[in-house]
Amino acid sequence: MASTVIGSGITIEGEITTDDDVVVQGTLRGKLTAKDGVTVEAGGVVEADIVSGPAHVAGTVTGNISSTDRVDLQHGARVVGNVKATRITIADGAQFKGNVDMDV
Amino acid sequence: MAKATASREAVIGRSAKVRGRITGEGDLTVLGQVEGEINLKGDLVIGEGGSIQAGTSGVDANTVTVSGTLEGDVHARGMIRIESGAHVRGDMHGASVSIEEGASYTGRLDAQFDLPPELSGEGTSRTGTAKRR
Repeated sequence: MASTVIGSGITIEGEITTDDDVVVQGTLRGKLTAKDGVTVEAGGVVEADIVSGPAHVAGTVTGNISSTDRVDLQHGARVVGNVKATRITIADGAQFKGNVDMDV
Repeated sequence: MAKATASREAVIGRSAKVRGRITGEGDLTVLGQVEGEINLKGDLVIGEGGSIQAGTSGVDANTVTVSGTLEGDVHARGMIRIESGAHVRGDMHGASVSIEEGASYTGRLDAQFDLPPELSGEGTSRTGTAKRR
């Protein structure tokens, strides 16, 4: 409930740090650190490194994603950057360029 | 998972800290901490417990409602409401400004208002200055 939502008309240039989850429908440039989940919805743009719990991406991410849990690149996602996670899915229709590190 | 929200709405959650610039078309509700400039076409709400340190660049929005803490100058196209329990320091420029009982405010108020006829020698609007604790 106490989650952070960056609405579709909003741009944040800077750093976000939170213990809860973050939903990005707008634009974020900088750095995103969330103890809980991060969701980048379709139309959302993140030009930032993401450090988070579970990450769900259906929008655009340019930057590295480091998750303590899983990363789901959903249909329509466009990710350029490295992904570090314990589990990862890349759906049909997701675009991804980068390295995967599953820490094995 | 976060619940789906209306697409134009933005919320800085209770545990969230933002350092940087926030701009946009939509509305913004701040329940956490923001350090930096805010420039919105929509309405800004600083909820109870929310805090904005806008520094010298200040806050620019349609309407501004404060129940939390705000430091910095505010330029609103509409009204500014400083509600009970709020702590505000900075100059307020708006179409109208209201300060509720129980709010703490330091700064200059600049709002358009009509003077009573006996004082209206210099025009229909002037700058008021208020200090209140």
